[in-house]
Amino acid sequence: MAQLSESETLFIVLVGSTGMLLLIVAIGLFTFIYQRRIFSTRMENIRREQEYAQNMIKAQLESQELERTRIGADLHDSLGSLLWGAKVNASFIHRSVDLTAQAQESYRELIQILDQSIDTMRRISWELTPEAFHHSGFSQSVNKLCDQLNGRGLEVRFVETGNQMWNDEDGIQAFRIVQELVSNAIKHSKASLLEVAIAWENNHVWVEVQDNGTGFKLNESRTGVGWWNIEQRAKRLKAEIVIGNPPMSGGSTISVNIPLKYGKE
Amino acid sequence: MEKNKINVYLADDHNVVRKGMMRLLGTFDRVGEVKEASNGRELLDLIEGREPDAVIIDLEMPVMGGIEAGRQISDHFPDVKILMLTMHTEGVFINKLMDIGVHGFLSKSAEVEEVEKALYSVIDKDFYKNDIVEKAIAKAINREPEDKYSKLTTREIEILLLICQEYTPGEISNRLSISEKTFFNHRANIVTKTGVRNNIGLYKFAIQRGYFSA
Repeated sequence: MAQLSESETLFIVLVGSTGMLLLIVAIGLFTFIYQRRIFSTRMENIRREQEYAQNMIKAQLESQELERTRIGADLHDSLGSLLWGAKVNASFIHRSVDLTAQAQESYRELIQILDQSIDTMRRISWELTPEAFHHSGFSQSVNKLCDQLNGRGLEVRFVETGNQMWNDEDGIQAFRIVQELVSNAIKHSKASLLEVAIAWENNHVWVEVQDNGTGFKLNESRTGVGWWNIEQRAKRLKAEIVIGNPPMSGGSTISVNIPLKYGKE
Repeated sequence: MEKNKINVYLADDHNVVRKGMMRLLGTFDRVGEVKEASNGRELLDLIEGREPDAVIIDLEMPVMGGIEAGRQISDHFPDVKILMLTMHTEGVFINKLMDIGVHGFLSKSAEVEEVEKALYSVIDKDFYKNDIVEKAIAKAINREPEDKYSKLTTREIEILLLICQEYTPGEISNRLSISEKTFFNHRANIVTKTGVRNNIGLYKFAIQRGYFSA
């Protein structure tokens, strides 16, 4: 083997280490780019999943709304007509035969039952789809909801400060939240008094549902369809939900602060 | 067609309900011939064949619903009185239907006996006043555009008020010692000036303008 000169050795070492260095840089660069690509793919996947989840929730809420509209309209139009038909026929029989005193009484009761059925059916169908929400708006619909619940072993008060016409899609979402809150309070709190308050402010509205029932366990996680509904709708409205126990009365207070968007419709 | 009797066409998409109503109408003293249709289209075909005195229409029907049927009848057969049978008694619907020219409304939650009362009322008084109408008008008060009608004369206002109090043409002519023909001339002038279609429109006009309070 021929002796390499010093400069030749130096040259080889230099070239070799430069080559090594370049290789290391290349590998490093490659790894970095590769990692970044993996990272961004992962982020993209997460973003897509979130978007998908949001879309699913949106679709779920929308299909729920559609389903309610369908059932509400069906109840209202079909069942309403049929009950009316029953009344018409009962009335015809009443007109055509002389009834005994007892049969008279039975006829009156039959009519009463049919009238009550119609009233109940109207209430349920209204709760499913507030007829003409676009004309009545949020406040009036909440007020009517309270009226309808009154007197069924429960006092429901409605208080409003300020006044605004809120009748768009968001208004319906907000109305659904109030509906869920009220029905939760009735179902779970054993309350005898319920107060629903609406306070309009410049760019947001406060809705507060307060009851004198058994109260909320603040640390308890809230699962269940009702709460899922409330939370998803609140998220869509970018609303904030505050749960508390009123200082004196026992029971619970749930406040929802909903920002109002103007000029978007 | 029976003379001096009220001939009525009935439109309802529910078979059982329609049959029941047909039977019921048959028990009313003043009702003559009754014909049936299962939607608005069929009803219009019947009317084109021969005009009845009144129609009772279910608001919710397939093919052609009550609103469209009401509009067409009011446009093409202004002499036919329209009674609308509906579950929807919200003010917005009722006001819209009154403007179209519907003469009276019956809720399906009403007493069945009201059908007879309402039918006679649209025939005798050109409208049927009940709480559905009152509530709807109360909601629409002050929502009309500013005066675009020429002023009514004192006599016309007098007649307008009597119509609002549900007096029949005969009764009004007697009270004012005028002939029925004169009454109808006055009424025609009021209708032209106010731009409404019939007495329910006059009633709505009178309340909205503050001539009359329910």
